[in-house]
Amino acid sequence: MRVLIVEDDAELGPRLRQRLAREGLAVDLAVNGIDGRHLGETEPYDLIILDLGLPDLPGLDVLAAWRKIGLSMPVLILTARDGWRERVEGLRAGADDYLGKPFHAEELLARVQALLRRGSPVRDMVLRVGAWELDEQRQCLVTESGEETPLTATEYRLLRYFLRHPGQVLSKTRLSEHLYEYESERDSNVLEVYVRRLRDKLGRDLIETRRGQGYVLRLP
Amino acid sequence: MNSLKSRITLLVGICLLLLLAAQTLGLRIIPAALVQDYVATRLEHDADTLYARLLDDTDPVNVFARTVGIIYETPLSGHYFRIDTGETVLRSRSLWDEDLSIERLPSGEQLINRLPGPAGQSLLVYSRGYQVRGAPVTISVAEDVSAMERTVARLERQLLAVMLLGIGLVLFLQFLIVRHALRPVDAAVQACRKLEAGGSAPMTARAPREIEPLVDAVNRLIRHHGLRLERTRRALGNVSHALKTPLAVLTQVTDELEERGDRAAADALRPQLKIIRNTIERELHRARLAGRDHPGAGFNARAELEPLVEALNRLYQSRVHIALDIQGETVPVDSEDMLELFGNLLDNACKWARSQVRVTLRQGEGIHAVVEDDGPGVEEADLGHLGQPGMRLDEATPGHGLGLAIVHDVVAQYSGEIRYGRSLELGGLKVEVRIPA
Repeated sequence: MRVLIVEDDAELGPRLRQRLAREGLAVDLAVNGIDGRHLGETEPYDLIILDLGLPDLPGLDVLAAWRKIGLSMPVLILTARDGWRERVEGLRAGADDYLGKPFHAEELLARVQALLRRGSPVRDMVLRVGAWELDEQRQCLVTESGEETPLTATEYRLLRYFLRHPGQVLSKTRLSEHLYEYESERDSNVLEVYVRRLRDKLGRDLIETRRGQGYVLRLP
Repeated sequence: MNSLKSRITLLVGICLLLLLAAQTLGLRIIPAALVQDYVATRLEHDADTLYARLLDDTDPVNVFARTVGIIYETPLSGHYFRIDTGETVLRSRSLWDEDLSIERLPSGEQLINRLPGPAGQSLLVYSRGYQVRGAPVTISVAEDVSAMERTVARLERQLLAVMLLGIGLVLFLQFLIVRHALRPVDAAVQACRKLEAGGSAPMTARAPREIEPLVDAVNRLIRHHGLRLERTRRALGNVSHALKTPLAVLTQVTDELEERGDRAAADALRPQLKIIRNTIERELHRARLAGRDHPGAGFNARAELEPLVEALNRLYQSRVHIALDIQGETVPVDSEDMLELFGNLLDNACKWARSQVRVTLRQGEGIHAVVEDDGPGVEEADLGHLGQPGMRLDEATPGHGLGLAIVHDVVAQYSGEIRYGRSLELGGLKVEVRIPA
């Protein structure tokens, strides 16, 4: 899952990025409205966290610009100006949630998770695959009997994306776009390695390869 | 007597009354004295003439009487004389058979006195002692002055009446003048009262030159007050906003501390951060509250609440159906304040509701609104705790627990009323708010 943070504060932005990255999210940070708008328009984000008080371009204008060209990713507004007048304006401009500063990390994470679920085809609170359950807190697989199978960070990200989009053909490009940050090296061959590792852990038939198209997660 | 108007009226009134008293006194004394002087001088001339005749002649009375004037011959004519030679008393014919009781005077002395005369006449008598051929003679001449006195009295009454009327008119006029002159002061007082209540209405009344500086000063004060209020609000808002992002960073750092295992530090920081956050949040909202005297365009419930419901629908993904029932006219209260009130109330209702929220709003003489939901409601015992800052009855629902506290602030600002209870139809919490007109 890929998230964009548009926040001009030099402290808060990087900290949020770090915090969300630990949740297994691929996070990009834009420190002004113009970069933010551009990234939002060109990259396929699953969620955008938008500060309204940006120095160059008001957050509301950025949001309006995205919605105008038909982008429908969930947007969470994060702002110090949290009067109801601004809230109503923000939500009517196309925001999906509104959080006033300051906030607790848990509150932000809960809202981020809720918005990510909302934007996916599968909206279940708990993701299941075969006999396993994906523990999103500890980022591992757990069986009903309590047996744990550890996952690396990338394995976790990949599996979660598959589980949120079961039955869909996911191209390597799409997968890497949703799993990696903007600056990171995207080598689609690396993805093949991770897919193979998931197959090792969960079984051969779970992820099907469609030659020339991508992968499909087959849920029984 | 602390009223300027009363004081001026009283002073002017007292002066006018003193003047009236002096005039009345003058009217009583001066005409009488004038009449007496005038008559006495004539009587003295007549007495001298009689004395001259006595010296010339020793003829009987009627001889020289005629020389003094026919008026002394006519009975009860009002003009009389009496000559007392010590041996005989000669009286003018006009006295008929009356006499005047007059003492004998030594030679050279004179006396002017009043005596009742015949036929109810009021006489002014001039008497003088003379020496005629070695014998003392007292000559008295009298004239009836009652007619003259009556005329003077009538004149006096008429003048008094005119003066009383005049004084009444002057008092009334001065009351009008004082009131008119002090009108700018009243306007200044009115403007100051408005100012005190948070309003700003510069005075436009034209003022006399003496009062103009006061009006100017008040106008300047009002402008100054308005500017300062605005500056304070903006400064407070800026401070709050400027503090919020660093505070968000601090909250993050605290969370990170805890995750790294430094629980003690995190636990020490959290309550402090919470206090700072709640204070900023609450004071910022308070600073935003305009209060009754900044009504702006007024609160149009339909135009404001429909977008709010639209926004809440987006926020709660239409999980909750919000039914609006609004009736009545736009009310002159600040729309930001009301949006803050209803935003928090409806947000709270949506958080708890299972599927329904109902808003019933009546406008006109103030606002009467009922917000109900079909959530679990609040236990009777806990109703009293609702709206206390930082008080949350459920820690699991996101929010700072400040929403209802802000609602309480708004209601208090408008001297309104808020009541909590259980919704009879929906079963959840029912909040009833009254904002007086």
